[in-house]
Amino acid sequence: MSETGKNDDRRRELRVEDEALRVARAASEAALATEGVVRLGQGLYAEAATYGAGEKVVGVMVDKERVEVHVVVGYPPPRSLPELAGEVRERVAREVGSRTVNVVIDDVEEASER
Amino acid sequence: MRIFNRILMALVFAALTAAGAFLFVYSFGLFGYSLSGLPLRGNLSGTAFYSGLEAFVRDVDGQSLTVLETVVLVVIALIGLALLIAELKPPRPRYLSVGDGLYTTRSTLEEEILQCVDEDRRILESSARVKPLRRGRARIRVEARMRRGEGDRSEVRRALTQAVHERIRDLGYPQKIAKKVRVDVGETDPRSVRRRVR
Repeated sequence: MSETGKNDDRRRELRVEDEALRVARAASEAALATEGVVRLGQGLYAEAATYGAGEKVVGVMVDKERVEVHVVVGYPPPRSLPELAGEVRERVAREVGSRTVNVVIDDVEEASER
Repeated sequence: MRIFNRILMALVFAALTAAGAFLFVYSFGLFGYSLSGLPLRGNLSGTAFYSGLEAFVRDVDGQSLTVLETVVLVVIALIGLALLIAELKPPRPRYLSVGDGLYTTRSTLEEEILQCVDEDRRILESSARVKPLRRGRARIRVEARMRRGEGDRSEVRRALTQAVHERIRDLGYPQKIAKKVRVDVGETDPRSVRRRVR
């Protein structure tokens, strides 16, 4: 592949990364704005995050088709956990376009644990 | 690509199982074929691998397999079968499903259950394990320990089972999550309890 072709590919990759980071930041803000969510989670088996050049957004995983948001909920939750997760999904869905949104409640935390 | 890989691996494992099982059965002389008549010669002819393979096929053909060779055939068939089952079995979910696209981790529910069990003053220590199953179900196992002679264990078990069901309902989890709840209550010496003693 020519040098120009490689540069074009790299530019395209950076644009995709920028787009993913922008979506991840918007999703993160939307999730944190939901009443009952105290912070974003970090995932269970591997760090749940979206990575870009020199930056990462922890708690949100973005790919071409879906967004996965990990949240930690305060105890006692203001609504039932499924309702709360549903509200997070609604708020996040408004920010991420046509991507499918999945919400994972990583933990329920009491005030004393924070 | 992932689906293609799974199909390919399923075929490879099925072939492995079939080959192992076939050779094992063949070694009892139930078929009229002659394996040593197969055109195995080629680039391998004359190599150590070929001579070993030839000896193995001769043993299978002559129904004179050694114990080791029989064991190898059985192990090949069993490994192939185990890998085939593992490949075909749908993966177990990592999270508990609380709705379409909505999940919680196992530890979230485990902590809630522990808290609920510990509210019973007769319980000295407890542990809970939640295993997510397919189709949004879960298996919940609770182990609780109480002081010897503190009360009727079956009555405590009933009370704890009911409390766990209520907590799951109060938290808004789908009721199918609470379908497989098993509570075991045992007795213990308070001095041996590591977690806490009242």
